[in-house]
Amino acid sequence: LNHYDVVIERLDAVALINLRCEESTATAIGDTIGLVFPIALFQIVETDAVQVVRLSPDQWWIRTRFTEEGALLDQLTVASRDHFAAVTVISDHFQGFSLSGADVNAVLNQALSVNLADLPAGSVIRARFARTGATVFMREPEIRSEVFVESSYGDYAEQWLQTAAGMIHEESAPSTARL
Amino acid sequence: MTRLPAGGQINRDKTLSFRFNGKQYQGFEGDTLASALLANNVRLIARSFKYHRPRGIVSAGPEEPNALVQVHGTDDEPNLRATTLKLYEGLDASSINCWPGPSFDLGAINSLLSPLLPAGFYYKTFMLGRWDRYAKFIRRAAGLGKTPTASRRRRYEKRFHHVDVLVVGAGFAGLEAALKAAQSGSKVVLIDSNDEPGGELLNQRANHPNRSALEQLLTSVDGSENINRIVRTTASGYYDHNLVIAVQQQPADAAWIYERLWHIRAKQVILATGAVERPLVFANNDLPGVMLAGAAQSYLNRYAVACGKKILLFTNNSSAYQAAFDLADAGLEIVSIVDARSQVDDELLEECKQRSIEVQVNAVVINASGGRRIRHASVAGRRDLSDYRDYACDLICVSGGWNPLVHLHSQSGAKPIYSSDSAAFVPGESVQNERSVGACAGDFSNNRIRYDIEALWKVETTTTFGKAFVDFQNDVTTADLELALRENYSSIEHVKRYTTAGMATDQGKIGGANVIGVVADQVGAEPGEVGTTTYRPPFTPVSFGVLAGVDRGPLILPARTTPMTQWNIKAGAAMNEAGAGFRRPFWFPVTGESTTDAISRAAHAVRTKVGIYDATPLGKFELHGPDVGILLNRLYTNRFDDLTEGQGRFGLMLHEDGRLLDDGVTFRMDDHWLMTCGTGAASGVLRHIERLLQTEWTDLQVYVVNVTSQWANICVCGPRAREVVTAVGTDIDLDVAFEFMQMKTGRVAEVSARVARVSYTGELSFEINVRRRDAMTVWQTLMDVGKRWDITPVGSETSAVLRIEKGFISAGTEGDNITNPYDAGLGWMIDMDKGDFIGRRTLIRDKKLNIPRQHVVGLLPDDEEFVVAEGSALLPQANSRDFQGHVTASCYSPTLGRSIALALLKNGHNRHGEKILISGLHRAVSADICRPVFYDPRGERMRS
Repeated sequence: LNHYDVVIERLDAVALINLRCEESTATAIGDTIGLVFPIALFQIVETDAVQVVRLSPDQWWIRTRFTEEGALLDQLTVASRDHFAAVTVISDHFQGFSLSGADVNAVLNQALSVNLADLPAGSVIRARFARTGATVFMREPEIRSEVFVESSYGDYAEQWLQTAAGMIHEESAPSTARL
Repeated sequence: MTRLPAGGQINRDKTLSFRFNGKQYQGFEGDTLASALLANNVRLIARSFKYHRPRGIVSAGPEEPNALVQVHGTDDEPNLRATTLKLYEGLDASSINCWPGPSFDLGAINSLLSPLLPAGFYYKTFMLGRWDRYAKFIRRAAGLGKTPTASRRRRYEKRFHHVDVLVVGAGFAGLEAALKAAQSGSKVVLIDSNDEPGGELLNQRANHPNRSALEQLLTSVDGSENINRIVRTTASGYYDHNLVIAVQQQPADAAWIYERLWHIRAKQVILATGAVERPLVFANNDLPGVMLAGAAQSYLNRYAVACGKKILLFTNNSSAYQAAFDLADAGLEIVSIVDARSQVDDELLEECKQRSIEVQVNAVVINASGGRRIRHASVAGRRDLSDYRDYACDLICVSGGWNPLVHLHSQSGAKPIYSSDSAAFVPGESVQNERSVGACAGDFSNNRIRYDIEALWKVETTTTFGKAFVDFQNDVTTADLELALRENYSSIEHVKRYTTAGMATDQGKIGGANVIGVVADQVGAEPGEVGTTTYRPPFTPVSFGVLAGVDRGPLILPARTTPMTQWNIKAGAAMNEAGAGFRRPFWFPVTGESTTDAISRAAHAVRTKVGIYDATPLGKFELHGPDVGILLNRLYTNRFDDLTEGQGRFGLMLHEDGRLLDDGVTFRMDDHWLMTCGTGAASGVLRHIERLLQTEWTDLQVYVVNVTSQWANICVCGPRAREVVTAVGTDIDLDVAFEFMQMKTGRVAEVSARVARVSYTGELSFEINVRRRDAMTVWQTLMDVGKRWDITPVGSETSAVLRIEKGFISAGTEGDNITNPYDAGLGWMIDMDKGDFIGRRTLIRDKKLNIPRQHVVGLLPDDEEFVVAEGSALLPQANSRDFQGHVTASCYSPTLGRSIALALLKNGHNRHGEKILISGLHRAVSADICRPVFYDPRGERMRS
């Protein structure tokens, strides 16, 4: 239970595949396997169960359900075989968290120095997040976001998010007398 | 009681009880601690910092230099200003910097010794002998309140916010500016340190002509959708790119938060921070009962408190007259208005006449007298100070003019300029998108005060009367300033540092202008030529709690974990930071076992049976592309492009200067390569490679992907390691055909795995790499199955013992940014024939220079039980200053049954067999110099 209206959940059933290649190669790979790779930076293109996001001029994340990881990896590996490209499973390298509720921005604003108003639905940012770095998916602005940190920071990030969300526990009764 | 029967903006229906210096008092809701104390006729609030002189309340706002208090109980906090501390039921506060109390303070002996304690006293007196002997006494005597020691339950928060326009200050000018900006379509944040908007108007009488205009303005502001008005929020710092830091006390939207720190990035900043009144400088101007005229007016109008019954008002400007009129109209006696100006507006004189108030023009107060409160004021003509007259009074209201609060403007990088019209520093040219409005820009028109002033920085007086203070909080007098100038501190910045004027928690808000004025008079310059010192954040003191925000306790530093972290903790491991933020087990003590015994037991287990340790934090990078072999050849000193699939090789990575950057093993996999590197070096190595690929070697087709946390690494090591891994079930052939420095893929404990044969212990080892989510399954299976061989968990301290026994070089220990591979005995890893690599040129140069260098050697202390301290110096004999090297790593070797060490020693490779003295902090011991490999020098065990 949090003071802020935010529900924080771990995202454990997510498959993440990292693709590094030139833009033209990404387009070619996408054509082969029927995926659209976004050209604009930090934009998500989403089809049924797969989301593709461009994170840098030569880096994309392809995200799907964890049960689909092997099949998607096989597809990408085959499609990129004749190209200069790197296909790497990174599902375990990152730990995702889902934040939902009316006060999502109240929590994100504590960690991110960027202007959240500039981030529409379907955008992604990579930034310093609290005392680590994170990739943040803006699913529905102000009410639903997802935060991915390197998984070795997962326990830290979870505790940090809970604290920032104002998790209620007995020993933290606020002192309000002065005002 | 000095509370008036009516008036003020307090809630008389709600009485609040509070304690001050152990005595019980009562006040009303809406009071500050200062107003409540004054209402209870408490005048002596504090003792001064240096001379312990009695001090009272001077101001009614955040500029207060004297009335700092310590709040006790669950809200324990030092140095809070009584003038801004809201009264609440049960408040328990006390004076600071006095003992046993402000009425009788033993520290007041300093006042008698004051001729011996001028500015710069510390620097001159305590430069002889050992400073540290004096320091503890000086530090004990100095300081203000006491830092709380108990852990706080309060919650703090930090927030980032972006906005079109930030308006600082919700006085009349700030409200107007916010409304105009909002009407133009801008999103506006309006912050103010008070609960109520209105600024200086709040201090004026209830029927002030601007009150109704203020209410109309406020209605429009609060009705605007574009304006977010945040109360109880003080802007404390202004930084580059229009970043303003502000502290909000108990946000209305989050009652559980005590304070919130805002980082507000604004396209435009409008400063409407107002102005503060400054005192006049005359003898004993610091006695309790000398108060700013505006403050006395504020206590009267806001809190219905009469700060005195017989009041003398001393001014050099017209604004103070309104204070006199308000006080007189409340029935208080104004014994005289002493106006230093040569001419006074006829209108004001007429109003004085109507109230029968005596006005003395061209006159000054030359002295205040009394003990713990004012009794008399001595008034003389400006031209003839010797002819003075004493007035009996219990309050001297002073007004030396108004200081626009240019602090934030100055913090933004701009330079305030001197205005002779208002005898004050006003904002100069903006350097960011910022502008000042209202009183902080020197415009006092909103309060309908006709502001005429003649600068008066100090009253010329004789020293027989006593000290005249320019800075109350640090006890700086006019004599201190004159001394600083005599000693040739001509810059105002130097004068500030020598005298400490303006350096206390009040940052010289009320006294700063007088300091500049006195210095200007003394050197015969205009104040504008002297200039201001640099105003620095914070504008008012900021709590450490709000600076920390939520980053407290376990969140101070991110603790990185591996899948086995919780298992390690449950197993009783002593956990500690082990590079790059990872918490790792250092050792696993069992009941009653010493640290040394725990480390030795685990080392013995690895040498004789089998150990297991969590090597997950090692950096791991996948390298893809056709040119990886070329890249690795350039990165490492040895060749890599001849590796075949499944083979690995240990490599040395150098800086451009030929010094050790990192070491690690890289394997060639089926369609990519896997590089490992030291935990602490991982992020640096990744940056190094990416920089080279993106800026230097753009022709190489290589992609690098960080997979450090994708793969957990479980190392099973020791002569029984093969049996244990076989027993958990694997389809990988672990027989001798699986050679040292190979990696194979398959399944271990029914989980997909990459198994490598590398060793950091010198024993047969299998590093089992599995996905993070599978790691605990494999680890637990290995522990369960390994019981048969008495498998022992190993911490990093044991790992260190094993590597010292083997003489394995640690890039972060023996490599000290001076060591090159030849020094480390790793010349066999340098392939000069393979082509260029980073650091090659310097290695050639090092060899050609032929300068004696420090080499890695082993040391065997004569006292075999004595473990020498790491860092100990190596000397040829006792008392020598010929420093020849130092101990880099040291331990008791359970395998050898004696102490051993590794060291960097001048010309060490050629000194094996000689003796050297190891000189530690507490003991020196002689040692034999030897090869740095103490165990299995041929490496047969790890290749077995």
